[in-house]
Amino acid sequence: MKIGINKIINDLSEKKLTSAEYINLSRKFYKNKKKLDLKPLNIAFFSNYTLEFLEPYLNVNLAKKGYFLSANYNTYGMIEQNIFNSSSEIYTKEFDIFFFDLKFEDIFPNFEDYQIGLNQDKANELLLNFENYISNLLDNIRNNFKSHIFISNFSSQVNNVYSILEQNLEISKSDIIFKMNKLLIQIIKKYSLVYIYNYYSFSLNYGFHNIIDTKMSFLANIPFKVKYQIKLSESLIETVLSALLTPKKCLICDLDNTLWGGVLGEDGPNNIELGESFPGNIYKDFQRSILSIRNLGVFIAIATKNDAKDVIEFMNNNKDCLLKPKHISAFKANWKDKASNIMEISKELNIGLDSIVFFDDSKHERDWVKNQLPEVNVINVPNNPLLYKKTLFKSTHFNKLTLSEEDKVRPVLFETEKKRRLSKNKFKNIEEYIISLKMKITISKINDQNINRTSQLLNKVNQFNLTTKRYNENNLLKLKEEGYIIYTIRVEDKFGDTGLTGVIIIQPLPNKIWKIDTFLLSCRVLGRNIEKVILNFISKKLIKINGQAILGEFIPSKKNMLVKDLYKNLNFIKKSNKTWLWEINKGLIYDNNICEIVEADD
Amino acid sequence: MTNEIEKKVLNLFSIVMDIPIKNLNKNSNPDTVENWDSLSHVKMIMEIESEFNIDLLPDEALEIFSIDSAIKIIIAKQLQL
Repeated sequence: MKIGINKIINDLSEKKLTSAEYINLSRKFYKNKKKLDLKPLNIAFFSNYTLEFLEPYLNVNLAKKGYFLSANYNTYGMIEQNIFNSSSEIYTKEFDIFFFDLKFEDIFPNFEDYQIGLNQDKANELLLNFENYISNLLDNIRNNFKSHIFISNFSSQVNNVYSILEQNLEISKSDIIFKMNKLLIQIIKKYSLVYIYNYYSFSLNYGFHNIIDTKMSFLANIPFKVKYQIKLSESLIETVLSALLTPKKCLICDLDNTLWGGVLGEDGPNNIELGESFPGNIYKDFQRSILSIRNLGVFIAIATKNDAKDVIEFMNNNKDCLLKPKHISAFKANWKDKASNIMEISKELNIGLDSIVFFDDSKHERDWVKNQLPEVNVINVPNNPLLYKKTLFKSTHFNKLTLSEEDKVRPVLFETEKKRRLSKNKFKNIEEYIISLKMKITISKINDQNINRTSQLLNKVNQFNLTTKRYNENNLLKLKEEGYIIYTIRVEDKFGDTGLTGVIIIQPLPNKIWKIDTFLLSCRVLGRNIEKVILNFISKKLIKINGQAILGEFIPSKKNMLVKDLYKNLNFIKKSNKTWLWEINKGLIYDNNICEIVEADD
Repeated sequence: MTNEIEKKVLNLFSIVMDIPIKNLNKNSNPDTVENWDSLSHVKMIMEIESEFNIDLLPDEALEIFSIDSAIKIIIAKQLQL
C-alpha cells in the first residue's frame, strides 16, 4: 500500500483532475496519512467564507509538491474570537503558516450604504480603521508565533447600479481598493515573514463574472464556482510555497525551436523564425520572458547542439534576437550530449544540479536528461510554442516573494566576473593582476542597512569561513551589545562592485587580547589577498585602542579546508591545535600595496 | 441517456458521500446515507452543476432529496439547454 499511495502522488504532477477526483484522492490521502512520504504543513486559515470547501484541492495540490496539509479553519468571525482573545485555543497550538483570506466585504460590510457621499475625509478615516485592524491582527500573531503570515490583498466587483457613475464619484470603490492594497504593502514591511497573497491579480486574471457563484454565495457562503475553487487553491499554494521552497538559480535553454523557430545549422540564419510577425513574434516574446527571469537574479545558460561560432554570430547580429551572448552566464554550443553539458554548466556556475531548470523542445533530450540527471528540474515543454511562456511560468521554479539587492545584480556580477577571469590570463604573476584590478575595499561596522546581508552571508558562506558560526540578525545585535566588533567588507574594482562580500567579527578577551570569532569571504572575491588586507586593517585598528594580541581560530567543517593554514601562513604563532596568536607589536601582518582601503563612517 | 446520467450521478454520490457505489441505488436519500448532511449536500450540488454543466436554481438545489430526484432534475435541466 505504501508504494501504492505514494506512486499515485508521483503520477499526479501533470494530470488535470476533475473536482470529484480531487475529493476522492484527498480522502484517500487522509485515510493513508501515516503511509505518505509527505512533509506535514500546518496552516491556520482565517476567512469569512466557507474556506473548508477548498480542502480537497489544497490537499492534493500540496501533496504534488511534497506536503501534507493539516489545516485549521477559522471561519465566520473567528478572527475576533481567536486572535484577539489571548486565552483562545489557537495560542496553544503551533502553525507553519497563518493565512488570512479576508475580502473587501469583510472589512467594509455594507459599503453600498454609504458609498455615495463618501468624501476624502471619510475615506481616510475608513483607511485608518483598516490599517489599525490589520496592524492589530499582525501584532497579535507576531507576538505569539514565528510562523509565516500570508494576507490576501483586496479586490471587489463594482456595484452594478453605480457602475457607470463610479468613475465620477469623488471616492470610488476602486479608489478605496487601490489605497487598501498600497497601505497593506506598507503595513507588512514593518513585520518579518509577512507576505501578501495577490487576490487582486487573481480576480483580475479570471474576472468576477466567471469566478463568483452567486447562488452558492447566498446559499452556503461559498463565493467561488468549483472550477475557480480549484484555480484559487493552486494560486494560494503557489504563493505559500514560494516562502518555503528555495527558488531555482539557473535556467538552461535549448536554442533551435525553443528560443527561435527553425534549426540554425540547417535552415540558415536568414530563414530562422524570429521577429515582429507570426510565428517569429512568439519566439521573440518568449525571449523577453527569459530576460525577465534573468532580472530576478537567475542565471541564464544555453545548451545547444550547434556550432558555437554560428550561434554567437547569429545572436549578436540579429536585432530581433533579444537574448545576447552577454546575457548568458554559461554557453554550451557543441555536439556533446546535453547531460554532460548541464554537468559542466553546474560546475562553471558553482551551483547544484537541483537548482537547475532545463527547457528544451525535444522530448528525446528531455528524457535523456531526466534519466541521466534526475535532480535537474526538466520542464515538460508542450509542442505548441504559444504555450512555452505559460508552461515556464506555471512551473513556479523561479517564484520569489522578495527580491534582494543581490538578486538584482547577480547575473551582471557574474558577467563582470567572467571578464575578470579573462583578464587574469594576461598577467605574468598574480600580484600584477591584483594590482591591475584597482580594488577599493570599504569596511564598515554593522548597521541597519547591512545587517540583513551580513546574516545572509554568515549563513551561506562555507569555503572561506574560519569558524562557520551561523548568526542571525538577533544574534548579531546581541554580540554587538556584548562588546564584539562586527565589520562588513565591500569590494569594488575596475570591473564593478561585488557588493558586501565579507564579514569579520572580533571578540574582546581579558588582557587586551582580541579573538577573531568569525572571518569569512564570499568565494567571489577569493584569490586576491583581501584576507591579508583585512587582518592588517584589524591589527592597525587594535593598536589605536591599545590591543596586545590577535587570537585566530580555525574550526574545521566539511567545506572550509581551503583556509586551514591561513594563520600559519601569515606567521601567527600556534597556541593550540586550533588557535594561533599574533602579537600586535610585531608590526604589519601584511604590507598592503595592492588596494585602497576606506573605512566608512558609523 | 438516462442510464448514462444515472451512472454518473451514482458515481458522484459515491465519491462525495464516501460510500461504495454498490451500497447506493436510485432511492438512496439523506435517511439511508449516513454522510448525507448539509455540507455534503452543498458539495453534491456543486459537483452535479460542474459535471453536467448546468445551473440549478436555489429551490431546485434544495429539492434534491434522493438520487432519483437528482437524476430527474438533471434531465429536466438538460432539456432546457
